[in-house]
Amino acid sequence: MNKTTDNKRTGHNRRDVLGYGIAGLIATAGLSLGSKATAQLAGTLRIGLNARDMGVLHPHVATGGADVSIIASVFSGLVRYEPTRVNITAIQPDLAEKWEMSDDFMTHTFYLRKGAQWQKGYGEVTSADVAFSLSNVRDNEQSTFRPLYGNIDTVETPDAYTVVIHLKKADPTFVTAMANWQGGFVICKKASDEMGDRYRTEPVGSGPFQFDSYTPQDNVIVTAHADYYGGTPKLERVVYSYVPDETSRRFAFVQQELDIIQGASNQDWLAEVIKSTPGNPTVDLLGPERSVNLHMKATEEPLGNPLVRQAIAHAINRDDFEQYYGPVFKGTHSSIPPSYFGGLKTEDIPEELKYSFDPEKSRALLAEAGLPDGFEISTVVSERGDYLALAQIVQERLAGVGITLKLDILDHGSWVAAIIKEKRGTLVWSISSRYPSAEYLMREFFLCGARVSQPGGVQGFAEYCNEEFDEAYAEAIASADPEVRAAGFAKAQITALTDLPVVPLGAMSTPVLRQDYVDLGYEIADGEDVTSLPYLYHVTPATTV
Amino acid sequence: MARMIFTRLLLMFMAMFVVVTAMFFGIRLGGTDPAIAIQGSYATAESIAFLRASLGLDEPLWQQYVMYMTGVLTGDLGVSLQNGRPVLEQILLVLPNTFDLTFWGMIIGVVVGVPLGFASAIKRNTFWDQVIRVGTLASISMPPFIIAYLLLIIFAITFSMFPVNGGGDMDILSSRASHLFLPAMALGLAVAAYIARLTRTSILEILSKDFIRTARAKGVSEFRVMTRHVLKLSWVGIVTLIGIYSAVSVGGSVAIELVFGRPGVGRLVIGAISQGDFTMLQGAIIFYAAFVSLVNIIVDVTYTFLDPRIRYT
Repeated sequence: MNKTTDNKRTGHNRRDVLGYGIAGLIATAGLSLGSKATAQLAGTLRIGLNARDMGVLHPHVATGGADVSIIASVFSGLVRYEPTRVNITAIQPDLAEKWEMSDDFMTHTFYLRKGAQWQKGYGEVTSADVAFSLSNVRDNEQSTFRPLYGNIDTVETPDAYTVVIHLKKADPTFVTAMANWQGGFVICKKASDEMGDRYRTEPVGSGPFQFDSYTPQDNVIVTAHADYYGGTPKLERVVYSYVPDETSRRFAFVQQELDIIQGASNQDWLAEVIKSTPGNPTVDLLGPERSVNLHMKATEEPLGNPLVRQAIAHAINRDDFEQYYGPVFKGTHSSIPPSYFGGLKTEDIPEELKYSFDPEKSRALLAEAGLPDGFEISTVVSERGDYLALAQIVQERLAGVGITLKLDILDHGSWVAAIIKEKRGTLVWSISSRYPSAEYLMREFFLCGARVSQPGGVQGFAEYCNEEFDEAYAEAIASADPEVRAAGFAKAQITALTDLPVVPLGAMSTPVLRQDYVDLGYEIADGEDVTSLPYLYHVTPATTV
Repeated sequence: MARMIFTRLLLMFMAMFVVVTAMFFGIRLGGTDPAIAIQGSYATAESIAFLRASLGLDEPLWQQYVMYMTGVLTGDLGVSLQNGRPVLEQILLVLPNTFDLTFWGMIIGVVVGVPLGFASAIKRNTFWDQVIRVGTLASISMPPFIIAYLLLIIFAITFSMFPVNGGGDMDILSSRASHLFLPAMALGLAVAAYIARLTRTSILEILSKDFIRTARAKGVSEFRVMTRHVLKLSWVGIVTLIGIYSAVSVGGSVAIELVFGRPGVGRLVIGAISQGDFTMLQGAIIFYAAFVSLVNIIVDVTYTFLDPRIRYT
């Protein structure tokens, strides 16, 4: 009898627990019913990133676009760019109140503001932190940007608020290396020493927002840094969500679950989002533009023949890409986008070096090269949509002039390994965004030291080397005069276009969308060309939702 | 009982040893080099070599294996190659999300599937039986992620009743539940279809037994026959199903986490594969293997309570 009673009671309790649980699940879920499932949250800005997960949040290591956008809200540089412009004329004081350089451009002195605080109680930002930071970016083997800071000779800190940087070679634009980007972000010595490897993913900076939490594959949350020297941010927190799927990002934005998203490079996609989203959302096409190029490895026949390279260039129609990508893509005739400092404008390029679409001329060049029936060539390509689309568009056009291009499609990681480690890329499509000045892409594409067969080679997939180019480049970067620099970069670009190791295809901007209730805290005029190094809007202390 | 549990645990560790070993060598045969995945377009031959060395990837494979297994045995699953954070810590951060999804998915599966299967069996060859059979067949024919997409489109996108993306704030019950409802329903409905069909078969088999006929001949009421004899006996089969589909639902949760953009162990696995993050992938697979093994042990133990005739050696 007792046993039966116990069993009954036990069974009843289980059912009750189950029933209450399910009722609870439905009821709590139902709290979102009847009203918008996820209306905007006061004090919280929700950003949807086109990324799968966090990499590292150490500014001297991170390269991923999603990581750098978070880093930009956590860290500060000695100087900073205006939120919508990246140019030496757009530099403003940040951790440094003022700066000066010697007449020979060899010594640069920065005077720090007093009272700037590190987040999480790590004290005041001093010159010792700046010296430590520069040492880290220049000497630490884990620093991604070591080559960019190799010109620093010594760093002196005569007092807690003065930093004197001596260079090995004159650099009149050195102040840009101290701006709020990559190695220019100042890291906290005390926190870095105390936290060790954890500093890479739980950073402590001096920017307006401080790292709060990370949920793998989901989000990073930063909260307001109350002691920020620029004033306590109006936002309480910013949630950076990882939403790699374009469709999910689109729907989350349309449902106003996200306030800002990185868009897709597809005009139909953008039009649909704008049409479906309540209110008046805005799309901005942010720079720095990504330079889109086709590298032709000159060490592989028949690509060693300049006539063949020219034939390939003339077979490609840049309008194809503009039709595919829409307004985010602009066909260009130089590997340095015209929006970059030193990038050649189309009208400044001699007609014969534009290599415009001309299939007849392409066939004639092939015949002149002794290949009247065309030829067959194979290469590897990434399966990633943006790369594969480029390759397939080119493949179709090359077929039109008798060149059979066989594509070996690899997953993205394997493709990168194939072109860098295994040197398998006969034709390599690159989509590269760098600081918007000609010198960076030039250094990575065309300098003799950039060849991927060299130990420090980055993107020299064409194995190109011409001393004339290197000399023009060296002359340009040694000058403080913007006109002299631009002229040197132009000369170098003309040399590269004449040799044609790389076919310039175009420049792509990054579409970013924001809801109409987001106030960035700064104005973006209609039609204004916005350049923002994090490839996302800068979130400032004045930003609100 | 204690001996049975000990034996099962021993077998579990042996199975996991095989899984971990096969996985360790298997995933290193893949093409993705984590050093390259980490550095992206800034990678140079020089920097790749340095990073490989600092990650210990240039050590002989057997040495990497010994180091890894030593770590695993001491509870250290290593650090993610992608971001340097401890693997175990990252798994534990998202585990509540995966637990929520699989637990509630199973609950929905059982609560919906068992009554449907039971009703289908006792209403055999009637209109309602056919409706249930066609419905469950349709559900089985669709992979869970299709069900997930349908629910997403209808209830989240068209009617804006539930959030589209993410796992919500785990500390706020309403946020957690509203983000969980559709994913759990998608998983639950997929599992319910299997459970309903197998429950029906199990009940029909019991209904054909002699003792059922005897009970009815003795005038026992139909309600009593069903509750005291059929249902009680059918629990052994249902528990087996729950055990099997717990493992299945863990697998199904991967796709559902992707569709709804929920954090979870499944997304960790997918991310680790695409980023060549060997250590994270190994850690997540160990978790899955341990989970499935533990569920099997729990099912075995449960049998002995439900049916005293079952004895393990």
